[in-house]
Amino acid sequence: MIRIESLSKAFAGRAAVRALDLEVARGNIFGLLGHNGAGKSTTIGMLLGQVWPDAGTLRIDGHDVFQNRSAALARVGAIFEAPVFYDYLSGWRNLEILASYTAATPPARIREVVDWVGLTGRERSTVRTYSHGMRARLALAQALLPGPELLILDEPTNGLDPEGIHEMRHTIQRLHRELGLTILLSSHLLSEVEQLCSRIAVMNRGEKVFDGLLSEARSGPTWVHLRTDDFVAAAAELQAAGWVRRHQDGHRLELAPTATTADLARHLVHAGRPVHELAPERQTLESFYLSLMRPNASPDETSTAVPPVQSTAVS
Amino acid sequence: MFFTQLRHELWKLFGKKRTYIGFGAFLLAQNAIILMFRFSRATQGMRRTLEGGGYPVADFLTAITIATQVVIPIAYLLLPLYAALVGGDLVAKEAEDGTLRMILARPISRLRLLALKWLAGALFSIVLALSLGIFGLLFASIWFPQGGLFASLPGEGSGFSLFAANEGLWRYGMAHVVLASKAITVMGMALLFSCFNMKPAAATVLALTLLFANFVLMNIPWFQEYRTWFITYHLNAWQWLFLQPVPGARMIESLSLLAGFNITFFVIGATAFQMRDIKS
Repeated sequence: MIRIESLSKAFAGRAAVRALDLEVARGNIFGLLGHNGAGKSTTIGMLLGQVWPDAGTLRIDGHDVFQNRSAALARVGAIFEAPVFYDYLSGWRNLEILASYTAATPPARIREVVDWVGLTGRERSTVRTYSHGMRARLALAQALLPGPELLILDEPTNGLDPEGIHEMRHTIQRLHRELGLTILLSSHLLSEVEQLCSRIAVMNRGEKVFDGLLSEARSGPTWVHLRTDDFVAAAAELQAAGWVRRHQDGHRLELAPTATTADLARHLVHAGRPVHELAPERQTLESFYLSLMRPNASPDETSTAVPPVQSTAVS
Repeated sequence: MFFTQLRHELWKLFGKKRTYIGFGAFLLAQNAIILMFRFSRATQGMRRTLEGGGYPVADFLTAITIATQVVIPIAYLLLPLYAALVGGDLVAKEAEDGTLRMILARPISRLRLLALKWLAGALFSIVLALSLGIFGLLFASIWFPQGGLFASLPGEGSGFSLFAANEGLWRYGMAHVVLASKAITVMGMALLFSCFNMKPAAATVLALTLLFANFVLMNIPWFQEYRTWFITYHLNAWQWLFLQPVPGARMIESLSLLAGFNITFFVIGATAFQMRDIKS
């Protein structure tokens, strides 16, 4: 559905996006993760033909966004963080105006979408009287009006309260399930991406540092936390015995593929080494993400700053 | 589809309260000036001129004469201000508010969007110029009788023109039609600046600065020989409808130049708008 190749963009000599390649398959909910300023919004801006790339190509449904913009965006809906409208006009009029920039939209279609997003009864009120949640629903309505196949959501839950975030998440799932939309979700909220997306790409300082299934992100190498009297000697011993691949930070060990925490405990006890604490660190999207944000990190080096989620003490 | 989109641009424009500031200011300024004429000795000069020439004062100290005197300062100062205010808003305000990003997420071309905005701005300018004439005549009619037109214009020597009631009304009406070209050009100039990455107020101020700088330069006595080089000279072509005879060739030349200015402003603005990045 989306194919981005070698995309680059710099603002005033500072690279915002560097040689980005990305592919979003039809029917996916694809998460674009990254901190603020990582290049997500710039990428989305280029995808919608709002920001000119310095190099590279972007295609939506086979159409080049810059050479055949009208065909590329004909079946695309977009929602941006903090949706903005003509506050002095009614919700209905806003929908009429925005829809007309895509194609002629009959009132029956507007009515249908207003019903779908749950704004019926308030559509004739001016937007300035809308709550944040209602604005989010109106944003969704305007995005759905052209009957999109692709929905681009740029930080859609920014500024929403927990109830609003829950509602938006539920709606995105519903859109995917009921309408079969392909969804590109840009966010820096890991929990949101974790609950919605099947595939993710992570951006850091304009570069893509990971692209793969969410399950792959969660299944990195297994690390354990060990507290003993002489960590370095114990680690060397475990490495020599083939239970551990490497050690890190004076307390962390990466298990060999067949090893378990119990194997380590047994070995250390047999070797007469005191074990004050031995705990596996479960790989989460957060730990994976944080590892990617470290300078010069690669997806394999999934070190984590989060405390162990389960602790086993052997003495 | 184009006309539907144009109608929507007009909804956006006329739905905003600030669009009506100009109309409100006209009402206040016109009534203040008319009341000054009615209840002060401001008409003494006109009386003396008419009496000195042997013309009946009652026939020419009329609603249309006063309305013409009222329109002159407003057309010089307030009309450009409010035309520039709306022109400066057209793109820059939408960019500032974020609605431009919502629009450009859709498959409309930037050129088409800008053409729609220019047309909406032009229609506003026409309404603004015509309402200035209509309101002026209506309010003046409350305090002064109907009759002929006595017109004395700044920058056109110390002479004056006199017209019978019907011809005066026709010239007054046509002057406001031509005045719309001034409003459109000023609006177009502000729209040009609005296409660059700047605040709406900056676009308005830049357009007015350019206009006032032209006006100041044009009025330096040593530059009189070059006054046709300045846009403000051509923007005042509407006044020549009150000259006897109307300098037709000069007027066509000025209106053609204004059309050229408008096309140039639009092309530069469209190029800038097309090339810029629209970001949040």
